[in-house]
Amino acid sequence: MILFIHSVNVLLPLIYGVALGMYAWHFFQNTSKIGEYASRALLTAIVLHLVYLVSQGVHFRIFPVATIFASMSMFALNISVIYLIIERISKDRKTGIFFLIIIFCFQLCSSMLITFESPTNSILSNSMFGIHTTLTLFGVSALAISALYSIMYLMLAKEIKRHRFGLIYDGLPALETLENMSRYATGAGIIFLGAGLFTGHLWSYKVLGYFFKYDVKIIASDVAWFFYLFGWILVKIRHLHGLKMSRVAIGGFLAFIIILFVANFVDTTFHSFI
Amino acid sequence: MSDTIIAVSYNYQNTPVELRDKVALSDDEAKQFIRAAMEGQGEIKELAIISTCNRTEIYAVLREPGHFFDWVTDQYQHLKQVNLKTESADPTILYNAHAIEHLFGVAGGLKSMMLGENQILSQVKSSYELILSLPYSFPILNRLFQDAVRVGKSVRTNTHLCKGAVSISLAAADLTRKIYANFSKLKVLLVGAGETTELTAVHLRAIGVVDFIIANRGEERRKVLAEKFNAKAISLDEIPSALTQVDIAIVATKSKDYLITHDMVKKSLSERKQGSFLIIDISSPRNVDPLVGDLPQIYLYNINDLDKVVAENLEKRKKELPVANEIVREIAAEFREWFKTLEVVPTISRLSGYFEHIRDQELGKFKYKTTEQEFQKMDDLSRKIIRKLLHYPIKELREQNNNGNLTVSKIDTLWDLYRLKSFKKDKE
Repeated sequence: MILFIHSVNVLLPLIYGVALGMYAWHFFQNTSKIGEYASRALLTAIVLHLVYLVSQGVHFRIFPVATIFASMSMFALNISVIYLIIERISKDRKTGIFFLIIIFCFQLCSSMLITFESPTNSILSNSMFGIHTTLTLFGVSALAISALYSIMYLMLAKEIKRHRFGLIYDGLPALETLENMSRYATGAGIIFLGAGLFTGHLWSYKVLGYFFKYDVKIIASDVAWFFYLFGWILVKIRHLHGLKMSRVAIGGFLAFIIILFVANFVDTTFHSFI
Repeated sequence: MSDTIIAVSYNYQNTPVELRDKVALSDDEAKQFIRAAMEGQGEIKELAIISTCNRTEIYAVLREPGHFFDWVTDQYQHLKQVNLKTESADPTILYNAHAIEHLFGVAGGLKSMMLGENQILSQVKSSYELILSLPYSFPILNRLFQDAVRVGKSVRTNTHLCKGAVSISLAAADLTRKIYANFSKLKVLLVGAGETTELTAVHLRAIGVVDFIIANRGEERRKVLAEKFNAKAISLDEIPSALTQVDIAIVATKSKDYLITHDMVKKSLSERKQGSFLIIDISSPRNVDPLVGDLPQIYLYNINDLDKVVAENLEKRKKELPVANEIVREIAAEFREWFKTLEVVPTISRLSGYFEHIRDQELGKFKYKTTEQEFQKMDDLSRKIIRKLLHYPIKELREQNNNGNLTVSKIDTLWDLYRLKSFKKDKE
């Protein structure tokens, strides 16, 4: 089993890389056949990724997001699944390249740095932990997707403003579509992340007896979530559209990632109490 | 000899518009043409007609090519009272491979006046549906038109020949599509009530825009256009307040001043609840201050910008021609391959005739050298030998044809082996 897990760990970034290459080809050359192959490659990667995570769970008897690098892999999978669903619904593969860049980078980083060890802390085997991490990662993935759509929005808006009708103009959907997708993704991100953080607190209360345990990552995540919520309300109240909303979404996600990185730098464990 | 496919084409390249109007056929007239062809005792086996504003084309399958154009001329005289002889009509007449590739090119939009035009494919489909609605059999044209529709779809899917706007008003509609997604919620301000404004409004309505405001100096024209588009009519003084409500503004007047100024738009931005604002200035001289384009969320295009878009799109379409032509050639080759396999019946009959001819020739040498009884026996024997010799080749030809394994090269080989083409000439 461990040999299989190690092999798939090497294989996954390769398949995501191949899918990225094909999505890039499809974007630049507009070859629909290549787009179909890219989609199939991504589906293959997702299936393999699921098998890989289940195998880890079975072998190590742990929900496979116990470390930051395991979480990165789960994050890559979440974005892949969400993107593939969007692709199947919208029947548009031109935005694939933007998502696959993130997916590939995260999986590559995870595959290179992950260490496979049996859990030393029984808390990580708790089912509540699984729900907490799944919801949180889904939330973060949705926020990342929102930021990606916002980046696409800004790119396309710039092209239209400058009267340039190149690859970006031909390849991306309408500004309003990108704005809506970003808006929905942000909403979903805030809900999932909020639910993830809340279950985390609940879990902390059940296991440790504290609803709020002092931990730099918990504080950082809670603060970031509140800022996101504040930003969302601001966008709603002030009727922010297009450019402003996109800037808020990108800025929010960047700030969130920076906060998490700093928090991770301060405390390299999953949480200070695990 | 096998059937011949012929195309008689009156199009924008060879026929002036006055004559094109005369030779254009409505669906009912086309049906009369087809009925006349199918119920006549002439050489026409099948007939179909494509008739649009830019072309009227008659496609037919003939037993023997020869007097088809005369028949067409007679029919026009008879059914439409149009005398093509006095009109000095000079249509393009194409046969077989050329006719096939021509129809495929038409369906693909390669032959259209506006390269890559989309409407022609539905017109080819309509012509196809028309022959299907009639109580006659069109085995060859059925397949030919099916393949033509296939070419049309393939060109549109696999190339960019039909993509990108190639007129100012379409370019405006294209820009709208690139900025907005929900067209039914859009509110459009049309400043000016001229032809260009109206045409742009028509294109916008075609993509789903329903809410229009029309601003024009002349009250009468303003009201006429407002009625046409079920729109609200306003005077030019009301433009500033309209700017706060609309998503798109199309400006096309003959005014020499800016009707939409930088300050006007800047002020409207603070009151607007909408997001992006597309302003298209098709006027010359410009009616929208160019500085408006510097404001956030404003996408300003003037006539030069749109002309550039149109020119770029036409250039892009031209670049797609080689790929589109390749699609036409590929599907035409497939059709010809299929069409040639229909020659199995003439091949069998020619082969039997060839063997019978040799038998007659050789038997004739003994006619006066043998008794009648002996000659009869020789005749029976030779007939049986030929029948047995031909039994398996004919059976195999039929089976291969039924299974779809009979290729053009196999038939050609057979014709070459027995010199079947020259055999008929000899006999004639």
